[in-house]
Amino acid sequence: MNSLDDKKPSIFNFYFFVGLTLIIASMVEVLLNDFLLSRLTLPLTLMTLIYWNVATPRNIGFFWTMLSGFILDIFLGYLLGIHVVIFLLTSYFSQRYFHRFRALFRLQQSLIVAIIVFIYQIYFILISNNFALSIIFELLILTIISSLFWPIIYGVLRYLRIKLTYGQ
Amino acid sequence: MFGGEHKQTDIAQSAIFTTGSMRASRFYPAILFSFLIMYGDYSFDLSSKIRIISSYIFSPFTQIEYLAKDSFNSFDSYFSSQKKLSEEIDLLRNQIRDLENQNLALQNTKTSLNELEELFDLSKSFQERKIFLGKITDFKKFPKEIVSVEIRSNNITKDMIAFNAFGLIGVIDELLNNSIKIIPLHNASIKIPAKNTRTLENIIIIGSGKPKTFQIEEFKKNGDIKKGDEIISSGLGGRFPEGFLLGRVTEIKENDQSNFLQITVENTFDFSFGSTILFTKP
Repeated sequence: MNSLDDKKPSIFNFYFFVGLTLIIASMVEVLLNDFLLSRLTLPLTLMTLIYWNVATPRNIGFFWTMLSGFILDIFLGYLLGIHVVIFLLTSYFSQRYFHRFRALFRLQQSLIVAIIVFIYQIYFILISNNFALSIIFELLILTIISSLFWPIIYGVLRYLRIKLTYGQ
Repeated sequence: MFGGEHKQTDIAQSAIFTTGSMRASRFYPAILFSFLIMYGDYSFDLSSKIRIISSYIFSPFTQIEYLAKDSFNSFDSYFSSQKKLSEEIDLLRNQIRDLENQNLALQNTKTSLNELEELFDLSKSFQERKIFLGKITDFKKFPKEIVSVEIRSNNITKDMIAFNAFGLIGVIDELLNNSIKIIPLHNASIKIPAKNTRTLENIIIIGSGKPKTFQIEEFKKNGDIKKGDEIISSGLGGRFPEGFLLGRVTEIKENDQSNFLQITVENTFDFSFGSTILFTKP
């Protein structure tokens, strides 16, 4: 009898794959930050983290969440732990409500992600004491762009997860 | 089949009954740890040391940006320099075309000057006779060869004859206001008194209707003529001047039913050559 477990990759591999996507996302985010010429960033790592917390809440651990947060803190020039705290909070609430999130349509998910990104960006505006009218404009633009990016990130990571989990 | 059902059930079970790894018992210590790190960084500036170390470690990756910029710049400059080169090539091509046109115009001028030189050389033989010049404006080939010439003088009369750089080429057919129509000497209606330069025998040559070709009229079979004999105008009758080359004998045919030889005289004069025609009285 064919067992589903025969086709599954080991948890160890999957765990590293999740970590790899988070690190890649944080690297891309750092590179985008250089190109965007904006005080805020496009939170690709946050969205990747949300996806993994919603898709495989068992496999996403503290280590990768904290490591990706530290990477962003180091390369974006923030105090160590700033990103880690918000990532831990996001992971915690994503895992708490992942059943509800999964049941939503992609458009509704995008809206929820936009709200999370909005709060995330406001958190950084507050931390950096960067209050200006122009930053509100950047905040809105990046929130809208992030919500547009969500279906893409969701689709790509889902495709990769299914490939890795069930093969062809 | 059963395997597939088992797989779907397994997926559904794992989707519904899964629980997150981030429980409150782990979450609060993690948050506390993060705050401790934050405090450590704030107090001892840990992050700057980490940044310095990481900048050494990741220096090859940070160079990627500059490498990409350099690559893009060299790529861009390659194509922009190629564009400049192609524009320069186009410019040079246009200059070459202009120079070719100038060259053509100069060649035409040179030809015209040579033609005029020939005509003036020719005019020296007319001694005190008046000469008039006209510009060729049109040339009709069929069915009747006619050259139209624009003139600015009213002193040209119908008894004048026309020369180009080759020599005697035609007679005036029609005299209009400011223009003249010339028919060639080889026109079938023209008879020219001529003589053989070898035998000095007077003959009459008539146009054959074909370019550069004449026939000798009524030349007896016992007459002295050879291929290559030079035929010049005799000046008899006063219609044509004396001593102008009309052609050479190229063909002599004998017909048993006739007492006369059929002799063809050809020249190399091009009736439509050049742009200027000289008129004078014979």
